Amino acid sequence: MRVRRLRIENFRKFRKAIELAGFGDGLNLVCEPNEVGKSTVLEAMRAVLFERYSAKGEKVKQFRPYGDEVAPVIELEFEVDGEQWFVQKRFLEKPSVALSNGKNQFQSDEAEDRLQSLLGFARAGNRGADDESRGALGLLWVEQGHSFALDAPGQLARRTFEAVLEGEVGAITGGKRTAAVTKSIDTSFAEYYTPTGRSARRLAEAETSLLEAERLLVSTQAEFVEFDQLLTTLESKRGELRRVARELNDAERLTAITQIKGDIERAKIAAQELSQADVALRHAEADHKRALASVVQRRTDRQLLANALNELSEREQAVVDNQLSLKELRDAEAAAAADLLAARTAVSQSEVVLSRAKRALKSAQKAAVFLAAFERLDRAQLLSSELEVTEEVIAAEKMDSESLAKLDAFDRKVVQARAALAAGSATLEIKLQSDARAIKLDGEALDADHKSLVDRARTIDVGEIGSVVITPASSGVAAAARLRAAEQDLESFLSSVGHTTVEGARAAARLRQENVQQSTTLAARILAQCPADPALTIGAGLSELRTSLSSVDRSALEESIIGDLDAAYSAAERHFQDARQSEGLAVASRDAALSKLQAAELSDAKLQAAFQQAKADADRLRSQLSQSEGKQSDEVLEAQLAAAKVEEARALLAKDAARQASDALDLSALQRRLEAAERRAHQLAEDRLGLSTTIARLEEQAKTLGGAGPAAKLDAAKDEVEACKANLERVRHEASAIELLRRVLNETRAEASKRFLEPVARRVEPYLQRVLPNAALTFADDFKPSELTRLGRQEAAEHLSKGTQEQVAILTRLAFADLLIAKGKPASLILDDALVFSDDDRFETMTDILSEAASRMQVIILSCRSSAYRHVQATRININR
Amino acid sequence: MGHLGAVSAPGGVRGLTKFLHTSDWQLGKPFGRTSVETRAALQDARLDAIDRIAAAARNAGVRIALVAGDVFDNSEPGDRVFRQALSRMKAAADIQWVLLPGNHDPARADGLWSRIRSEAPINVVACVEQHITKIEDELSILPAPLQFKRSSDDPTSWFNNAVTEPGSNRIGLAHGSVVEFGSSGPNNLIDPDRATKAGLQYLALGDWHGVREVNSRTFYSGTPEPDDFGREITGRVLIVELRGSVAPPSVREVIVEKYSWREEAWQISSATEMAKLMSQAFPIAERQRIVARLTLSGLVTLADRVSALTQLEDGLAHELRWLDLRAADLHGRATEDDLSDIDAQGVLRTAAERLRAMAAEPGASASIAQTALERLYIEIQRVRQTES
Repeated sequence: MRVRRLRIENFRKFRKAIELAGFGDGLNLVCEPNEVGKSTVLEAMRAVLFERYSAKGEKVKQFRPYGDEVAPVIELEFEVDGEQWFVQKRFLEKPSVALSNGKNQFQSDEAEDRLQSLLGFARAGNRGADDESRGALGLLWVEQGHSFALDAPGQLARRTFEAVLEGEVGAITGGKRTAAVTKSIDTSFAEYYTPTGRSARRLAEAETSLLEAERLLVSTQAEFVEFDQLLTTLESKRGELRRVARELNDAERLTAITQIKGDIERAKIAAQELSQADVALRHAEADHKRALASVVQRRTDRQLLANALNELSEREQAVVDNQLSLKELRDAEAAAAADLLAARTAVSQSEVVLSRAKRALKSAQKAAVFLAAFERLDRAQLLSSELEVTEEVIAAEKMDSESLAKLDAFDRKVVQARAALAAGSATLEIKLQSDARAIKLDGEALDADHKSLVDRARTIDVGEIGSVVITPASSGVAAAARLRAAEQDLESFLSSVGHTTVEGARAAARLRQENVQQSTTLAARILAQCPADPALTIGAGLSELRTSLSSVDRSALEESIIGDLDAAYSAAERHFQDARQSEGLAVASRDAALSKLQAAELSDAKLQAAFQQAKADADRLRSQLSQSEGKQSDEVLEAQLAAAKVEEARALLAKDAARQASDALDLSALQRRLEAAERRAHQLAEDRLGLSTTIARLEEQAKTLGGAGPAAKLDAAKDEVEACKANLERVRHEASAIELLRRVLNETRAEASKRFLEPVARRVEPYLQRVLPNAALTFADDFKPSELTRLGRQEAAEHLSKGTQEQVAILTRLAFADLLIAKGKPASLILDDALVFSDDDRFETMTDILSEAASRMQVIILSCRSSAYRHVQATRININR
Repeated sequence: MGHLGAVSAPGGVRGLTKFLHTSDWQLGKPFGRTSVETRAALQDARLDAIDRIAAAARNAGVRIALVAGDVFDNSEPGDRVFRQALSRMKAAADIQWVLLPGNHDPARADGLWSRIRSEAPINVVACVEQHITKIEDELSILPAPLQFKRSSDDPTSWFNNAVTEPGSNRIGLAHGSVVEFGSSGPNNLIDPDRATKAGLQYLALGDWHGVREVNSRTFYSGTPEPDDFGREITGRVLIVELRGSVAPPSVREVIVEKYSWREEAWQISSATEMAKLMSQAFPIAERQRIVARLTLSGLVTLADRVSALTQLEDGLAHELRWLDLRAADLHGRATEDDLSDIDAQGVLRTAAERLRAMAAEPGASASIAQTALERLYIEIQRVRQTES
């Protein structure tokens, strides 16, 4: 398809007619600045083909220049398969369409139909053309701002592609027929389900009908039950009325009332008689009671008197008895008093004895203490003289411990000097044979082996031979001198301490030490003999003791036997205690006797008073009795009692008879019965009236309700529910079948569609390689580019950059257009302000691709960027206003 | 309630030994399972039956029509049916109508029958109690009205001891079964020998919807207007003529039905066969007064099933008064030809094959798949028609 000429008038901004003519076969460029109307030109081209001339919708109204009530007119000359076509559409005012190809002329709907079949688009809907109705051509004529993304092509466009691809892929979709069937099934599906799968129209109606039928059944059932109950009520009310009427007119009931009234009269009389008999009985009972009381009183009085006399004599005896015991008690008391006196005397005597024994014991004890103290003093003085002797011996000896230390020091020096001498001197050792000649050492004969130091010149004379002198060295002389000095020091010390030998001095020192210890022991023993004696107020120490005792005459102290004195004191003590105990017992005896006596005296007074009281009582009773007897004798009283008894029995019998008569006719019960009977009669009359009214009302209701035919309605409602159920089941079956059919068709179609994608992808591929080397494009079932794979990485088409998206979309369109052209279908590509997001390199590649494509199809580019396309070889068209 | 001592038959005493016996009018029956317009037609046909019965009586020279129960379909049929019934009987002023409550319309105090008694025209008698109704001196009607839908007593047992004047013909009028049906126990069970036991000249029975002779003096008249499929002889009234006390009465059937109820079950192997059966069973001239239930079975091609159903649903169903079509057992097996009809290849063919496979699988979804396949077939036929 190739556009040749376009004329626009009264269309949007073009109030005056403009014409674009001279479109070439290949690439055409319409480069104009903004606001000139490039997009309007494309819109007019789309309108003249795709919008129905007769359309009145808002979309078409907007074709008019703003504020003008004029008729937009568009003319388009184009070429299809070498045939020239001319179409003119006039919108809104006297709308018209004319289509001609030089040979034939078509008008109105026929023209529209021709146009549609010629260019492969569909009749626009009421709201104007859309992507669906515009078909493949609509997809290729891209409006401003729509080139970026390629949405899924509409059904019609898809089917067009599918149809052109069928031969290639070997799958047959059935084309139009499949579309028609699918559409019809979709329509049917909509009769049963909403797009979201809920019940719609027929299914919903069937469901609703069943619900309504069930509701109606419930209500008619209720109506029927109401009617049925009404009839039951009516019947029971009728029965009730019959019973009421029967009872109201019942002769027995009336007779009964008369009978009750007569009984009431009789009962009243009987009641009166009963009350009289009751009064008489009560009188008789009172008389009887009184007579009986008099008799009993007489007997009581008599008994009381007898009792009083008895009492009197008993009390008299008691007084006498008490007097006797009183005398005995007095004597006993006097004896007890005497015993007490004797006991007290014994106590004071034993007390004196005790005091004497105590004094003797105490003085003996004191003397014993003093004697002991004197004995200790004796021992202490003995020890004291011994101590004095020892201390004198100690004082005489100079070899105390200090002197001993000095001695040891001197002795050590001697030993050291001797050792030093021995160390520096030669040793002279002479061994003699048994038969050796006599020899002399230092002039003394030597008869045994000898060994000594040569500390001085030694001379050995051997008889008949001569002598040998051995002289020591000079150093040995000095050592010998030091030894001698040390020995002299020792000697002088020994003499200073009064000893001659070292051993002697040492022994003296030891002895002195022992004496010192002996004196210490003695001092301690003296102190032990002189402790402090608090009983004699003597302090500790010998001198204290000595001083304290100096004032005591030792010879005056006699030595008694303390044990005997102590036993005497204890005996006196026991004796005294026994006397005290005897006194206590005597006091108790005396007190007891005294209290018994007092009690007896008190009792005597009481007995005397009681006797007097009893005497007075007996007198009073006696006088009373004789007075009473004087008035009425016992016989008279007994006779009165007997008569009263008889009278009471008679009255009782009379009352019983009256009660029986009265009981037979219970007045209050009778009156209640009468009242009940009267009330019942009244109630019956009321009931009869009420029932009659109710029945009349119910009859009227029954007539009204019955007239509505509740049973018929119920039967009909039951039938209706059954019918609705059956219908619903049928509709559900149909709905399920349609749903299944639709699903199977869709699945099958989707599977078939997939097979068409491959050739589309194959056609896009070479273009894509030039813009995006090493990239591959995949399509979704609906022909929409879905993924771009670059270097093994997949990217969702909608996540690509705007520029890349647009390039991919344009290349895809180009592939679609190629497909159509190859199959001899009309196609041309129009792009409005496309490629604005492309970089320079890509832009150039894209324009190259489009230029090449223009050798196969007409390509029209609308752009505001004339410089960008300056290098492109194309037919340039201007919009001449 | 007072009892109706004697009734004068309209038009004098002649022909009193002849009367018409009918029953089970069941006026007001809803026919809820049929279409709305069918319901109205069938309901009106039952009311029209009164007119046709009156005409049949006149033709037979009869002046008395005994209706043996179930005059109405239910105990409260509503004013329209009630009025229509009474006015149509009143219009037939030359006929004496004797009505009896049946199990569908039992006599209940203050209910339907109270209204009938208070509003009935002079030529209509409602026998709602066990009282002898005398028509002139010749006929003594012994009615056995039902008070309840079900009763275990024989409502006619009182006939035995009912005293009638000598010379008067004892005619029993009752409603109920003479045989025990089902397991629900005896309902209104009537002694089949009642006529003999009670010395009846004739016992007119209702309840059974077909004509039936129990014995020479005991008959069911059946309903005058058929109301269901599968009934025996139905749509008639009986003209009874008494022939003295020894000879049994002569009883004659008269057809009064308007709609004929037919039940057919066909096993077919092709649409052509079905078309043949259809024209045989339902003659064109009669179709408008036929109510039919047609049960189809057999195994046919998809094309034949579609064709057969189209003939029935788009043709016969509209020609008959009503067609209750049951074609679930007519299995349409999609043959290769059927599939070729759908498409040689492509989406539609694939879909059809898939549905065919689904329909062959066992389970409830098979019938849905079968319906879907049929639908696809029909849709394609339609598209084809539009294309051509």
